Amino acid sequence: MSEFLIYGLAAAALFAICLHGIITRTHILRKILALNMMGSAVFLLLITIAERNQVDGVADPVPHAMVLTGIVVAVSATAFALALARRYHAQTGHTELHDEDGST
Amino acid sequence: MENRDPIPDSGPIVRVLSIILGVALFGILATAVLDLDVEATGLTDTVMERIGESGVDHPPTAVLLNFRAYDTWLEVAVLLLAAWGALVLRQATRLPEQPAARSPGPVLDWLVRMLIPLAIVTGVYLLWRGTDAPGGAFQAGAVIGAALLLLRLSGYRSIGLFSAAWLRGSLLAGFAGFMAIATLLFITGWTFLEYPPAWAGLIIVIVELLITWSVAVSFVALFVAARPDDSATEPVGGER
Amino acid sequence: MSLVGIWVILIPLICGLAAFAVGGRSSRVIGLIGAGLTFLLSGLLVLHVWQSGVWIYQLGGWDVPLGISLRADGLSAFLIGMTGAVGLGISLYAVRYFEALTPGPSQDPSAALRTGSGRGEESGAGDSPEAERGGTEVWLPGASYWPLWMLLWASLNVLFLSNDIFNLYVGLELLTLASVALIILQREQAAIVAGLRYLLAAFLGSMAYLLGVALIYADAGVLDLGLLADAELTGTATQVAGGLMAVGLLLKAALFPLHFWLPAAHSSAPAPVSAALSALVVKGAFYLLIRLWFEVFESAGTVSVEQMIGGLGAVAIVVGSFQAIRQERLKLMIAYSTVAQVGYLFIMIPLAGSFGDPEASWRFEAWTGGLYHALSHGFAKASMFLAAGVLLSALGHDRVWHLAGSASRFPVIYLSFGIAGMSLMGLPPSAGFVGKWLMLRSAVESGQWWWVVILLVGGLLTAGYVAIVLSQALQHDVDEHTEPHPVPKLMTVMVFALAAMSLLLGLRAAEPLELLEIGAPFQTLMSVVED
Repeated sequence: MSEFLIYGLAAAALFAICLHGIITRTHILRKILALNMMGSAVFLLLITIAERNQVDGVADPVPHAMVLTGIVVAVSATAFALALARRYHAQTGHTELHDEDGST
Repeated sequence: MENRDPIPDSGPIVRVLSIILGVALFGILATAVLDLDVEATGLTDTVMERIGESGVDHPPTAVLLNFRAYDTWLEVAVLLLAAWGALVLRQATRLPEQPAARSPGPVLDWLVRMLIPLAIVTGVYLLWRGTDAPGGAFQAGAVIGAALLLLRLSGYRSIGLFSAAWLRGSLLAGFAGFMAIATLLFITGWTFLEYPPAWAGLIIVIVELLITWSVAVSFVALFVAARPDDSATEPVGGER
Repeated sequence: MSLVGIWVILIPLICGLAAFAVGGRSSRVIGLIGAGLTFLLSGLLVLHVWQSGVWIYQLGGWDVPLGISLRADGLSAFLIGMTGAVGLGISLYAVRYFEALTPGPSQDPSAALRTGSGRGEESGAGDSPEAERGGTEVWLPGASYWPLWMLLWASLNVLFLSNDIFNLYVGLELLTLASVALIILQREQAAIVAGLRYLLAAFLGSMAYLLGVALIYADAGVLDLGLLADAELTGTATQVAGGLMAVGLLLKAALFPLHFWLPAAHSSAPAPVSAALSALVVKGAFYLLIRLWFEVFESAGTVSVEQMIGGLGAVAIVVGSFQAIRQERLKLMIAYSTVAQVGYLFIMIPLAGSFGDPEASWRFEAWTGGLYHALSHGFAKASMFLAAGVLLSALGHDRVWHLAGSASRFPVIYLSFGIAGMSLMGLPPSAGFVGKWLMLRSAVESGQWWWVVILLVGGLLTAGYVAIVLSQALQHDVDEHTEPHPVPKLMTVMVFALAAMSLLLGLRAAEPLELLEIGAPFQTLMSVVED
């Protein structure tokens, strides 16, 4: 089994596990963490692709650039989500998402 | 956030369904991965052929800041929007100082005095090495942002010193500077986001410097603005 | 002239950043200038594509596959034109809307705030201690609205013009973050929950999309849409990637059952934001899906998957419409109506898909019909949300059952609501009728009669909730308890102008439809028919 397949399948498994986490965990922080891990799964696959595509020892720089861009985008979205989650917690005391009419 | 133990999770039916969904998804993804060719070259050759024209030697930096500069430019806007969203959430034009309740002890004080210069030097080094090795604006910005945070957390005055205009300017610098350079060249007849070959290296360094500063301040702004409110009178429960 | 495609992205960005840098009240002026210029540039781009055909631009002078290319065909120009016109209407409305929210020099800021969630539910926790501590600058919702709205507009244009699947991912994220920041503009509790849920849902959608991008790159080694279309990918990896990207985009476009985040997010935002979200932002994800489905995954699509997506669209029409009928708040009713109308858009997929003869002319008919429906929905839904915003500002609530008799006070508002409702129902001579007619014809010609049924039933259900609002408004017993606040005329004028556009585009549909033919993925099929 080649390295490409090992890492590629690991990325696939990680992505699926994270989906499970997002669906079943109700705590907002855990959902955000699961989403971040999901991003890591995609980045793992991209790095694997970059390694596969190497020519004369130089890895494919395009997936590397995609990962770097993707990380910044994911960090931004995560940080914003965390800021919203903290605000929400301060307003309501909840750590789970409740519907607006259930705001007791 | 307060500790509630145990944290309620979804019920058993959802869990079982979710596990089935997860296994099915893994199966589908695995089929796709197994279907891919184990050997290919992607765009490696294409990039390596033209890297000499990019102004930098490190392939990912060349892709990020020249070949696919459009992505990077927009990605800085994403970060700007996140920091900005956090400011909207706070309804603030400035960021507050850490309440000066705790003064740093001698150990922390010594550590901060050692770490801050080190972090700045590391940041600048990362920025500089970015042209021929892994590194670059975002890594440097993260390290310098961490230094700013460390200052703030240990009770020194830092981001709160920024006036509203300074804060906005710092957040904007990376995106607006990048755009200003690209727009100026565009008006003078170059293709949008094309750099004159002789100037490519210099332009990339300037853009990276500006992005570094914006990234550092954005990270700190996001961290600081995420705190709901520093005043202890914050009501919990939503109603007035 | 050939560089107008760059300026249509640059100008809103420059104006947005300038508005941000200046801050305070003057951001409004810059925002308005930006809106006017962007509208003009959008018009010029449409004209350029109309006259000289598909526009392609290599950014940075690097050819694909190394660089990123921009491309404007009829579809892009069509949607940029729609965004320009709807965006201008929303901007002019927003000037007055946020003026009403801006605290005067001596007023208590919270007294002037009229929020999106009916009486007694307004803003949660204590308001901005920083504002006073900052001393020099007071936080104004309008001052943040203009730069964010300009960035939102720019990101829509980025999305419509980009021709690179990874760049489209960055554009989608830009769109999402701008939308969420606008939703939480007034910091109400309902808006924060809605914004957070929207952000998490959109984040999940982005991750699915990005995984699809990774798989496609692994398979094809390029990211450019044109090169991918030429490659005619059919392998398993491409099919899985297509599925992932489609699910991610369906989540962002809020197709049933992935619509759970939409009603709260769209109804709890300020009115000009709600209008932009429902009329334009949803179309961004829809556009991308259409683009990918009929260009990149054309050879990988299967009839059963297409029928399934259409089926979800059908369920969305029924469930969304019934939910809309049940709502007590006008803004929520309009938001659920968006859920239903999004369903219509996706009926286009099975009709224009691979069912039956691949050379058939009904495919192009369905494709244009769906897009024309998107256009009419853009104008009509913007008008409806802005109308709800007028009622909310004037009456202080938007409870449907308390609107009794208010038609005599707001005749133009309800007239516009009726016209917009007509377009949503698909009655002639509105633009909605053109879209629906094309889809109906396509369904009949291709023998997919089941979509005829759902298209007609959907029209009746739409009539249901529009009728509820209008019949309430036209009642005689006036609710004496509420003395309406005066509402600036310009707001009412914009509500009417947008509704009127949804009517006019039905009377003059030939040119927009012809525009869609430029560079369409079905063009060859059309020319076969014409010969």
